[in-house]
Amino acid sequence: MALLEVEDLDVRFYTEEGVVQAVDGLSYTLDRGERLGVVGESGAGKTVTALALLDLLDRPGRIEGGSIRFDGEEVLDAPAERLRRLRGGEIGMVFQDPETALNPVYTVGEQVAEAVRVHTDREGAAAHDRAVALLDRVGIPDPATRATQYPHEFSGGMAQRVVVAMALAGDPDLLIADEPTTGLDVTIEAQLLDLLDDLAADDLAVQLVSHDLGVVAGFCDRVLVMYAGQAVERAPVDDLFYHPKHPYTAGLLSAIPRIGDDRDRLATIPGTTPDLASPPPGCRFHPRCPYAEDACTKRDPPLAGVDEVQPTGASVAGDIADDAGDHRAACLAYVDDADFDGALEFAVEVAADATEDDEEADP
Amino acid sequence: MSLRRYVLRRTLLTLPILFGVSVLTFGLVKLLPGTPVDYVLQFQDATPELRASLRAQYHLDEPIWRQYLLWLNDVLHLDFGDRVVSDRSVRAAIVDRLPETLVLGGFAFLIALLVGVPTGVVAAVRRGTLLDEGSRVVALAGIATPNFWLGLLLILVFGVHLNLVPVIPPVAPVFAPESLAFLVLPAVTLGTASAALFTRLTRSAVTEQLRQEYVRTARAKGLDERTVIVKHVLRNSLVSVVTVAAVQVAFLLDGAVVIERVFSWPGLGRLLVRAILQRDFPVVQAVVLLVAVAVVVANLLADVLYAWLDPRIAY
Amino acid sequence: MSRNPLDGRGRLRVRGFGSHEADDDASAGTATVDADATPSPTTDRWRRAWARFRRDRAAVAGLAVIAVMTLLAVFARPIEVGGVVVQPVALAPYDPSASGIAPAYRPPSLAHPFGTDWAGRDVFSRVLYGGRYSLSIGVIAVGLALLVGVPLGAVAGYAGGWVDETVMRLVDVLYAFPFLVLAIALVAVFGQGFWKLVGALVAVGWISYARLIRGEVLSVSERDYVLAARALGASDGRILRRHVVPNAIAPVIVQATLNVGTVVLSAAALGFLGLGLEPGTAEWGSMLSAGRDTLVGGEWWVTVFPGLAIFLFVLSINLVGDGVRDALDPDADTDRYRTREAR
Repeated sequence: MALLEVEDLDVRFYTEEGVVQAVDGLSYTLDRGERLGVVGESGAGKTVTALALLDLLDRPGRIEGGSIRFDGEEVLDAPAERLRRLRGGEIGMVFQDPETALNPVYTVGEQVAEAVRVHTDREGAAAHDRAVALLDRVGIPDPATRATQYPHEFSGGMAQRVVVAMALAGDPDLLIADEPTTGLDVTIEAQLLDLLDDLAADDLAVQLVSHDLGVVAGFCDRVLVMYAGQAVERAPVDDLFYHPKHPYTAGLLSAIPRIGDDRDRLATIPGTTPDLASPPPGCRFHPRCPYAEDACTKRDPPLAGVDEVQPTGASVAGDIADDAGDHRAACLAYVDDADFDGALEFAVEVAADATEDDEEADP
Repeated sequence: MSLRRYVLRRTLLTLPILFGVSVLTFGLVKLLPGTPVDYVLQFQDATPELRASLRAQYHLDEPIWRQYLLWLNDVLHLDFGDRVVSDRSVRAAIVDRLPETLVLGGFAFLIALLVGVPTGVVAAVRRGTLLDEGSRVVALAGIATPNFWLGLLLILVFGVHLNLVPVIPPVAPVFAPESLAFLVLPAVTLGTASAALFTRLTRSAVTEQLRQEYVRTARAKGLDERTVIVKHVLRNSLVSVVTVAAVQVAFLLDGAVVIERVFSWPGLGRLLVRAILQRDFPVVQAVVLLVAVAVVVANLLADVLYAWLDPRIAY
Repeated sequence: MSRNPLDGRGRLRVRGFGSHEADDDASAGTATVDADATPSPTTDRWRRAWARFRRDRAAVAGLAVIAVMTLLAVFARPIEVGGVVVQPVALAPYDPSASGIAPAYRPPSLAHPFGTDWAGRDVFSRVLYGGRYSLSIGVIAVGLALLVGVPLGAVAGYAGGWVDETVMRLVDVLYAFPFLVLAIALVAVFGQGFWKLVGALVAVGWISYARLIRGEVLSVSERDYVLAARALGASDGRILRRHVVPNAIAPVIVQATLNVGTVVLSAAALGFLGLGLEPGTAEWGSMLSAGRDTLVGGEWWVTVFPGLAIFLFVLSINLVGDGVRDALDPDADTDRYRTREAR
């Protein structure tokens, strides 16, 4: 049984402009000690998913369906008491902008100690000592003194470490990091990732949400690619980057600028992300996909395995069971009985190595 | 810099303003047609000797800057001269009325704070509900209602028709129970507009805070909602509340002038209006000066409170 | 941990994506072109603001009430300019100052919908006519205060240096006096009457606009289009008029709208205290001052109707002011305009 099982998650936002389907039928699992990367453009639903896990969605957003199971127990209808113990306890969260994630009027030590008091039996001085120890663990120099300081006295990188320390206070089994390095300098980013790496070594599962493929490539074991609220590809990290199966993933990879590129313009995926209040019919990526066919406008492809031909679109429940090592993509090219005739003719070329690998993706 | 030094520095910065206030107050009386002597002599016979002695008393033959300095010197010793209409000192008249106004103002301020702030918090937390919309309508009405009209209406309903409260103030010291009972209606009247302002501003401050990321962090830490609101959100909203409170001091002083007239409450406001109608200018000058100083002091206190509340302000 | 697949620049290259289409990304990539040509930005801004305002039903209702009250005030009694009757309509059935036309203290009836007052005057006519004072004082006082405050504040903010210091010190000193108290003191010194009242209200009211526009000017002056104008040789005055002020004026408009209500309340308060217009004038505040003496006798109509008129007007102007603020500055902190700047 996996540590975290998300099945058919459905999140909607009820706005003045209509109902926005932020997450649609998302399923994935996460095992103990595993590191999952969730990538996609802004608006793909990555952050919403992360927030939904702890039921932290703000008002116009509501979880309308699906199941989230942590350690076998359903989260979505858990009593408030259980939910509060999960939050910051078994599941810790690290947010994007550390400067604003911390309360400006309380000392850093107090904010970490507060988390300690909620999730352990410690009180008063014992909680404070534990807070200082946590600050030390996340690599903050002179932690005892810094614990008496206020968030505005910390740099971005240091403040993010404090947020990590708060997330660790309850000795979590799962750490969800939502764009933790966005907005930080590259060197600081590397340091923070090193810290996460260090922490994850102690059997801590990490779900890293990012739009930065480089960060995900260096840190994660498996990757989930999201587009317009849906999962479009799911694979172990090497498989994803060397053998991408979904056109969107290929597009993302091709968009990474590289030195020595002789094109005049940076490559982009043509078009824009769809309006989630009225998404395109069929496959949501089809307006921007160079390989789209007529069938793509009619049928929304399920997350299908790419290594073998499936008799029919595999049922969603079946996807959950065997995730590790499993490579799936939501494209009709991999669904046997779909009316898809063409071939996805993109490939990854590995240059600057002694051996050059050239493969073609073939349905 | 320690808090004490910060306070000292802010206090020193108010001195130019206090200087300006004193100049303006002094100058206002100087702009009057005629001289103070003429006003005093409205009530007495004008013999040349009396006139000359009065002129000397008011330093009217000195250059204007010297008159100012002499006046300032007197003021700093809390000597505001004698009233025009009688022989009593202005200071005595003020001291006589000051507690009445302070109690009325303090009572009103308390009502405004204790009603307005919690309402604003609840309205922000329960945004969009009937409670929120209702409180906004009521607050708007509170701001738009002329306080003297409200006072008159309240007297009409509770005093005349229902006969619940006396219509004239009791002849008793200000802290006597019958005085305080009488003060309920005036304090409510005076405090209504302030309560409305507190409600609106607290609501917007709390709404603003609820949008901040640290609230999400607090919830993600597993804190219960009550702790999130009271310990985290409210603490950050306090600066806004202090801002409103500081402004209310001036606002309440304005209101007191009118309300004291409505309820015939013998405070400074009533003294001021009577003095104007009687051309008793030393009184007008002294009261205006006092009021302005009070506002400056209130704002200074607010500044110090900000520094204490918000660790980002360095001291 | 395995080697990061994206290690080393240019190591991974995707071939084939996008080549399925005839053209290169160049033409396809520029996606949705803005179909709507943008008209002149300034006029467009005001038009959009007006559209936003129209959607606020409360604000529109407030505007309607004010319009009705204005019409009632204008058409209450005939207006003569230099002997020529410019406005002949008399909605008010009786002359507001005519006393003794009916017995004193009559409760509301068909003949006198608002009853009669202590001097036997028709309260309805007086309330209708009294609108002239309140509305005109409100608009004139705020208008003149704007004429004084905006240029002063704009120049202070733009010029900086000792000009700025002087103006701001003066503003600070004036701010120390509560609005009404200072107005009372000015009336005490300069006397009563319509224009003296307006003058007092202007003298007290200009400061909030000066401070507001100074702040806005300070932030706007740093912007690139101002630097560009200066580089092109435009004079300071021209820059102020054509670039800085139009962009900085929005909060001032909001403040001014809300202040009309404040001014009307203050003028009424002064009237109530007997420090406003000539005694006996059909001004709403003054009418309430007489009402105070009659309360015990139970003649409620003398108090209720004039006060209701003030309330209705100030409520409407507040709704309009809130609407204007939402239209011009939708992201603004809701009550920024009601705190220190409220005068």
